[in-house]
Amino acid sequence: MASRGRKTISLHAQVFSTVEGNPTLLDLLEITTSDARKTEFIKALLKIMPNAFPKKFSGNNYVQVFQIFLTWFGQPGNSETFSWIDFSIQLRQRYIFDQRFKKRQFITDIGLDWTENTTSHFISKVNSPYDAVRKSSSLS
Amino acid sequence: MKTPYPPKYKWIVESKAIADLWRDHIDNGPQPDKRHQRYPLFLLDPAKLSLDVDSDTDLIVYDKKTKQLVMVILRNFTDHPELLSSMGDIIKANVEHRKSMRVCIIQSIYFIISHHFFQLADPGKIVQVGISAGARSKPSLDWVKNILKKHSDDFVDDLDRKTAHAFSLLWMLIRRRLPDELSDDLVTWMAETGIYRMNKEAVRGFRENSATGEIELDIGGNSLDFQWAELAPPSGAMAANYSR
Repeated sequence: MASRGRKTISLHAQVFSTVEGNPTLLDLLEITTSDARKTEFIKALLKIMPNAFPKKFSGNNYVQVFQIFLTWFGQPGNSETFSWIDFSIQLRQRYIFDQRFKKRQFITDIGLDWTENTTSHFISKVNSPYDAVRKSSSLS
Repeated sequence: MKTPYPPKYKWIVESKAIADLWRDHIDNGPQPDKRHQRYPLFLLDPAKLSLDVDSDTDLIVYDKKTKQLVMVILRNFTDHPELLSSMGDIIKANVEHRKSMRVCIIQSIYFIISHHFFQLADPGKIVQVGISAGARSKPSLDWVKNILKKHSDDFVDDLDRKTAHAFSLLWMLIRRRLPDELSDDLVTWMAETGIYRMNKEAVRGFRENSATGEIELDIGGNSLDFQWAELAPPSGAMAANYSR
């Protein structure tokens, strides 16, 4: 049992060492803010280290494998030992926070507001004659 | 309207000067497809029009008697330059890399094989994206296979993903900004049949079939991801300079 535990910790350390020493992987980790980017990161990691994750995870999709990676890194001591990975994850959090504001602005700009019934609001501003021939000015 | 105005199957011109400019070309110019008859010119009388909608007017027209929706005109539907630019890039990539869906199949009684011709009178190109119902001789639902040249799986997957995400945004805009009667039929049909949304991973069995999912849009250099976005209906088309 103790031997299996040591093996697991050893595998985790190998994975983190691979990521820590690879600037491309660190860059990819920093922007893992969507499923596509999480997939890209795991694919790149597996290309360098095909046996990075035990076979029992092979049926999982890449997004789930990425969550496993983060769970592993959450173990005590890893953030101090692998400071570049820790830094990339901190940048990732900041990136997510920054994008949230831009996303809210974008949603408002294109009239795609999840928080209210925009359909009736939008349609109510459009001219709707049954038979009249009249014009309305364009929506601002 | 009992008698439509202007009449169908005519080239409409708004002035005699325009008619004079085009008459020779319309009457005698080369035809892309000679099987079609030539349409004559028709000089429009604006006084006879029931409704003339200018270029900055939004309008929804309902039938007076049945109260049913007849027509919707919304200008600047996506009035966001960076979004338009992003969508334009996706459309260009699809039109470049996919086979046109406008083909005419002529089956000869003398030959076993059928002949495929592109519609000669249709300028531009229109391509299918998302899920296809397969060939008429062998129907089956699968992701469309119409990539023109050999590309890596990663390239095709990336194009398919961006395309599906663009359609998801368009679908959400349609649901929120157009009258419900335009999308009700489609929404009911998707709910009743449980058909796949435009999601390649679900079609290929890598992901559970769901009406919602995560989409990522590259808008003006910012990658914006949306959780729980409503995914688009299964199939769509993208076109460049296409008309029929």
